[in-house]
Amino acid sequence: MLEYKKDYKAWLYLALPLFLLSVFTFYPLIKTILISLFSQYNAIGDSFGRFFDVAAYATIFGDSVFIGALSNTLILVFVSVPISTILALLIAVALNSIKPLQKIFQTIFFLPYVTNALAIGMVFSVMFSHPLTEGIMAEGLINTIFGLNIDWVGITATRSHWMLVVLIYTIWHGLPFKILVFIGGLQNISKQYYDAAKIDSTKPGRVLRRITIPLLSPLISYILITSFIGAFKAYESVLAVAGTTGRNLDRNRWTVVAYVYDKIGKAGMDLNYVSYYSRGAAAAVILFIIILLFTMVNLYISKRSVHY
Amino acid sequence: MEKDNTANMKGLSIKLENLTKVFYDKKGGKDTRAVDDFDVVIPAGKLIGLLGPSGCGKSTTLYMIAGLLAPTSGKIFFGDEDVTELSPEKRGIGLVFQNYALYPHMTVRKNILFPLENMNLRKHSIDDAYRKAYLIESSSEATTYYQYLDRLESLQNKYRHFESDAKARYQNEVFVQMAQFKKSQDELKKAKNKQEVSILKAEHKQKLKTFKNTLLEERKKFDQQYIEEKRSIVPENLDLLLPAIKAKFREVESTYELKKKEIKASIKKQSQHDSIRQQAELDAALDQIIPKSVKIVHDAKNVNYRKLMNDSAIEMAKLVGIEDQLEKTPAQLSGGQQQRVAIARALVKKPKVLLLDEPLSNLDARLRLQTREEIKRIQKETGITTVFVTHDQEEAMSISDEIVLMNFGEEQQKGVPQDVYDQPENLFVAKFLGTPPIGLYNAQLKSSKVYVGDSVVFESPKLKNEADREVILGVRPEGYIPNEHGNFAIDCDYIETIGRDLSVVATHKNAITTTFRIILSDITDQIKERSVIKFSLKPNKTYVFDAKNGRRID
Repeated sequence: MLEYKKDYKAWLYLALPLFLLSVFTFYPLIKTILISLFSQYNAIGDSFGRFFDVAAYATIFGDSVFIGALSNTLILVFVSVPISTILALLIAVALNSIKPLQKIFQTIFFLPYVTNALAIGMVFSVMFSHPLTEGIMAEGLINTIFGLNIDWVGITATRSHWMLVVLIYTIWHGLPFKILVFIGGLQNISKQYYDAAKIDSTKPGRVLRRITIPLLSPLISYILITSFIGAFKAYESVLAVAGTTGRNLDRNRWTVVAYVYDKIGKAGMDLNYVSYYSRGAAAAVILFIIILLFTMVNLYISKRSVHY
Repeated sequence: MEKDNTANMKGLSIKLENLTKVFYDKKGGKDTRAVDDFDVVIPAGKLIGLLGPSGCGKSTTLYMIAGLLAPTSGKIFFGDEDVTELSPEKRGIGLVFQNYALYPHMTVRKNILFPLENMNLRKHSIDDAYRKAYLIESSSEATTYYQYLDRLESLQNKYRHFESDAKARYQNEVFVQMAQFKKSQDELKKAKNKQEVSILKAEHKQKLKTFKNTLLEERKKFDQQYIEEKRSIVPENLDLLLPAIKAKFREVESTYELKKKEIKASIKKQSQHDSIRQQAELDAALDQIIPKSVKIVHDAKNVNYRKLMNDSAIEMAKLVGIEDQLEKTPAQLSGGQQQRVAIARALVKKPKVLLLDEPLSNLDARLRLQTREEIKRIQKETGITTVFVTHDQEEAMSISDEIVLMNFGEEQQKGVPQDVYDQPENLFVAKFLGTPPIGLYNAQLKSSKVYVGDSVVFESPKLKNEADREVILGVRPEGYIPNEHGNFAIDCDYIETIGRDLSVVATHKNAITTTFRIILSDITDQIKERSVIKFSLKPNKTYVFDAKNGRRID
């Protein structure tokens, strides 16, 4: 009985967040799934139309632009996240082991975090710029330093070139938060473990592998999961580096989110009588499912290898 | 690694010479002398308790012995070796931390194995085997070579000592100079003599510079001498020596391998036996022809080092009584079990010295009793020199062979626990040891008699030559004898019985503490609550201390 009494109170406390969640999360989520399944959804009149089928999914998987966007996203995810996490870990360990200037370095490494993403993107596009007609403008910083003549981010850039710049941008932009979290974690590890390791003549590499990383593993897992999710939703990084607005972004550089944005901005139907809006919704649902599966795999792995 | 683990752990003696640790506080400008000119010799194979109130420098001393803190000046010797400059891992010590510092993500087995895995047992054993093999195959060359290596090592040790001596001298000089400078500077500042201050500063800087230069010059000289001495011991054909030795061994080895192949082939041809018999025949035949040197190397290579390490981990677990907990993580163990794991981890690499930092402070009362017996037993079984730090006098007195009582970074008294208790050298020692604590009274020494208030309560022939003055009289709780004709009248507050202990909680107007305890064997009619009881004092439980400096004078 006592438990029941407590129950209604708990529901009362939960009511407001539940209400907000329903309006702003659950409803949109369900509606998106529905829109993706009613392939002739009309956004202007908000009418679902007659057909309840998977035509929208079939269309996007037949659309080479979507496949390209998906592969761009996957490259970004699986290259940038591991590299930036490992780099952040090494930098954090290095920062944690120096005493003088530690605070200054910490600030320097944290600066990108508080800087506007588009501003950094502009800096990047200037750094990697390359004049299309020679002689009118000078080469960008990178080309000048390395004596290159490559179009990194302009309209003539090859996929590997602009992808490289986007990756560098993403890694660099993702570092500060990770470093901050890792430093916080490192400072929480009792110094005695290191003293004990010292007395047992443990080599530095072994200390890192056998003591620091396992003790930091809850945070590493947290960082990995959140940054994988973040990377799947990449969009502004590509935009920022290309230095254009969404409409003008080259189709070859789209990510899944860019594809979604493009499709839900269009009214009407394509040649197969599938509404653009439904296609956008279908792409969003695909991304949702990928992230969900991936996060579940992540959690499963971390359950087995993380030491809390 | 020998089978008999417990026997070869025999400890080394530890000698601390003028050990000093000063913590410099840059902001406050106040320096803390945590350990001050500390001299002590800890005999080999003994269990020694470093005892003192918190902040007395006992843990600092322990960490300096461990090498985790560098002394400001002074030296540390293990046996005859000066280890002051050695890093912790080279000292061959085991340290048990106050909260054990077990790695939480590893099982007990892995925790115990961890130090062993760091030692690279395989490589060392194989290197050793090669050394033996080389000595067999090319005896004269190998002897020359290894003699050279040994000499080189002792030479390096020698110069390391020279350098550490020089450094200690330098640090001492700087230390004295700093103190002098500060003193005279303060004096001059008080006198507002600005000119003198600046002169003094310049002089001070000059002196420090000279010290530093002397040190650098000495170092340079040592380097040169070292190079010269090294040159004198280098054999003429050093570069060719090792390759020649190696080649010789390889030759022997390959001849053997060739023969092995031949025998293998002939056995296969001759007999139609099954493979097991063939193998047995081959083994027997090989056993006959294998050169001793090759056998040593092969044996060393064939040892399963993983298993060897695991075995010694299990052995240690057995020693401390946790062999059934090996697959658990530290979080699944009780405090006492964690403590044992920590001890096993410290002992598994067979250190010469075991250091324990407040080993019992994290355990509850019952476990404490059990664990301290355990520590005593383990120490006895292994014979390892053990130093432990504690602020709990009962703990220290119960298990130590000797205790070293510290306060303000200085040694107050050292000795067998009971001796220290019976014969405290000063007021601090008397106050610190003993539960219930000693009763203290403000008293006067007048013509060799001790007066508390107006009555003479204590006399001793030892006090004959002492001048009249204020003293403090200390009486152990068990030092009172109820006596109707006694001179010492004490107000009894109430009577307390805890288990078999019977004590009187008493007050006295001259006592330093408001209440104190008197332990009695039985209660007579005379003793009632809220009454005045007369006592006489047992001379061997009564001490007289100088009121000013706390030294014992009786």
